[in-house]
Amino acid sequence: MWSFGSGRQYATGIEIGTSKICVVIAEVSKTHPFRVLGVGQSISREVRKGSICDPEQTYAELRDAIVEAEDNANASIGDVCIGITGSNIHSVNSVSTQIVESNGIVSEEDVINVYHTAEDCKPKEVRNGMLLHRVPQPFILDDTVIRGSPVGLSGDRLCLPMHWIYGAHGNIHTVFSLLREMRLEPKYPVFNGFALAYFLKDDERLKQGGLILDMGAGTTEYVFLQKGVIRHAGVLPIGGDHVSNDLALGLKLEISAAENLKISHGRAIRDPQAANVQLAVELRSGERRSVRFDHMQLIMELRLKETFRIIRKILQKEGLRLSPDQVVMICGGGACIQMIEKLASSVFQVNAIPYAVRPYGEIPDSLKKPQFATPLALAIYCAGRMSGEKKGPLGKLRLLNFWKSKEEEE
Amino acid sequence: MINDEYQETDPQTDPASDVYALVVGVGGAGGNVVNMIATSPCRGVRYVALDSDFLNLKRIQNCETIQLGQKMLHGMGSGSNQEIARSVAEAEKETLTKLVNGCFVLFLVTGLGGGIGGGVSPVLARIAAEAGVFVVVLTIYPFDCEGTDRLMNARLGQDQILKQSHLVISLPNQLLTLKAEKDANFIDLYVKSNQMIAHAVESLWLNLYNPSILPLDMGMLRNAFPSGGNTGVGRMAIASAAGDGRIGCIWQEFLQHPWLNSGEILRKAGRILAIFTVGDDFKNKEMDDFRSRLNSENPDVELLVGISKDARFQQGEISVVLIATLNRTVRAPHEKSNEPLKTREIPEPAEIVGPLPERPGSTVTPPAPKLDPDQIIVKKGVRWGKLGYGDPNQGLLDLQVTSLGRFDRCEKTYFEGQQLDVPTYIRMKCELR
Repeated sequence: MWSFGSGRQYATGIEIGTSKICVVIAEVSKTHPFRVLGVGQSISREVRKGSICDPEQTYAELRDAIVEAEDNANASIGDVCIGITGSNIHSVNSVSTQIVESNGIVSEEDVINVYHTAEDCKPKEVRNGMLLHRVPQPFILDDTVIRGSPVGLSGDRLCLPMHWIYGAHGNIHTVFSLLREMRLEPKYPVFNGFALAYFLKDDERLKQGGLILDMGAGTTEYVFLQKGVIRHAGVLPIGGDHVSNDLALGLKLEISAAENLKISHGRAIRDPQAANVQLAVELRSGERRSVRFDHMQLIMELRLKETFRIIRKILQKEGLRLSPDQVVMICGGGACIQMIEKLASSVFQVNAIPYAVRPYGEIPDSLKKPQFATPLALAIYCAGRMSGEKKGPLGKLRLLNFWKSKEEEE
Repeated sequence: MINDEYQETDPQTDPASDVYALVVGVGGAGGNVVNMIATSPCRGVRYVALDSDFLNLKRIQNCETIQLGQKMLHGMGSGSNQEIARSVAEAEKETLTKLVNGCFVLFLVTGLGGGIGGGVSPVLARIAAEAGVFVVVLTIYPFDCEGTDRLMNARLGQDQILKQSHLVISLPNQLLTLKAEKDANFIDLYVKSNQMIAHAVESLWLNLYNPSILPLDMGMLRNAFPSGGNTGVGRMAIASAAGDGRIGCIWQEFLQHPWLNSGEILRKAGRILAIFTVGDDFKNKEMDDFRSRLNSENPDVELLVGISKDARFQQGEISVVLIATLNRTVRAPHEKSNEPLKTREIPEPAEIVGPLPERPGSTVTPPAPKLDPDQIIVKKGVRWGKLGYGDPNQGLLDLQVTSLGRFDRCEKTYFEGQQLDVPTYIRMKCELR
């Protein structure tokens, strides 16, 4: 576990989502490694596909959520971990190579050099955008993938593949400026999917790796894990709003009525018994309309299946494929749709499992729902980073320790 | 006209008859195939050959025969004229209705080069589909050397069949010659083609009829292959192997199969129906292997699988019948030709003109309420009848305006050329009827 001083510290996770803004404040101390103290929420009206359209409106909503969380926690927050998402988030891979010196045996210096080479040779896209995360992949020594540290092994060429996650400057600075206006420092900007992977990678069911899907209202974030290492991550700007929009257009309903219908009767796979069944829908004007249940299910199934297929295609383009012992885990509001796991299982051809919070500090039951997976993961990520800083800055020793600890685990 | 050997039975009232599937061979080629299939009959299947040519029917010994149009054609063929054949079939509508009554599946084997196959088959398929029968049509394409007229006949006939049936499987004989030995004669090729058709019909029926390891369900088939040719023309291939690595052998055979254009059809297929006939030693791992091989070739394909056990299969033996269908918009490769397709209008006989062509259902709005009978008559008279303008077969332009709803003013999302903000059901042209 992490080491903390005797004083209380607060880890705060803020998610500015398409449907809601959520703030989680947790206490981190020696006695309570992670204890959620307060949660604040507000409806997000001016965020589309994860990007802020009207900063003033979002500022007001964010302020309401923070005030509510602080009231509930009876604490004042300072440094926060802010979740970044949206269609501006992309990822790219690069490989840096180092010729092994000192008689063909890989030394610690070689490892540090190859890491620095990777840093120096960032892909062009990353340099133009704003780097969020760099994820070192397993080393490759003379075309052989090495699990753990390559120090002491013999070879000629040491390669370090790196996965870079970056976003657009403009979108990320909009989020930062909102927080700074409230005198909060966005100390730990993190891609939502990255924070989720950080939180869930130790889950027993994801031990062999798998795909984490966070199906939000505006976007679907995906992270492909393999033995605890993020191999690929990204954002597909398709989410629950698209399902509601399809329903609204197809069934001739208002968006709000379609949204309610989706929540109450949504289903990812068509039910043959739903043919000719009519559902009564009440519009905002009080008028009652009836819609065909099978039409509704058809519209939903097509959209959700397409979303999964696109993600599968993206992964295939990256040369990634889920093996039978890996799983798909679905989080976010999309996880509440009936039969969503079955649909995911049929598209990805592996088991799909429901989201569940592993035993971790003190988390209230209300936060264990899949809709709150991201804000909770952000708060946990914040706590982790706060703890990490106590150990000192990221230096060459840290890098080596990282690989050594991996080796010990295996 | 039904010949003397044919005993008419009503399957619903006569428990002894126990008929659930009907295999009908139409025309000379279809009759020959069914005659061969009937040499080893399956339980629950009735085999019938339909033709107008008396001499053709006389050669058929193994199954029932029905002679069509005795009064109109006097025991002769239609002279490769599909219009005449269609008129004959309409005149014999009662006989055909009785024939399909009570069965669940109709396997229609038809040779398309001549007139009877292309003329009678669409009518029989329509009658069967209207009676609620699942219609599978196996169309045998003529060899190239038989002439362009017969090839054109085949294309026109197939288009008509496609509109009336659930699943159409095209079997181009010419493609068999590609992989055949140089000195292979016609008879060998015909026999090989017939054997494959017989095996496919038997496998599909056994899986539907007998208790199976993984049975196919009629409802599932109906959902996967709706009536009206939505799934387009399909292709079929059969492969069998034994011993270790048998799935690999079967897969290689499929990849080199002439009817699958050496695997090209597999890569373009939208839906694949695979029927496994296996012994006792079939493993789940092998099924996974098959699926992964298929996914590696075509990740988007929808796979329907049926597995049935056959006691006749020796240890280690396995046989797979694979039916691949393309989407409607994608034409089968054999139909792609540089030379322009000759258009020849087929005037519909007056007595078989059906209802007016319906406008394709809107993908955005539910269909309009149906008109009263009086209104329909008025519409018919003014629009198509009295003034006589307009071609009822003319296509209608797709002029729907697609709204993006709440994403109208958002940054658009594209993936592989498709605008993902447009509802999926609209992009997939899925009709909400």
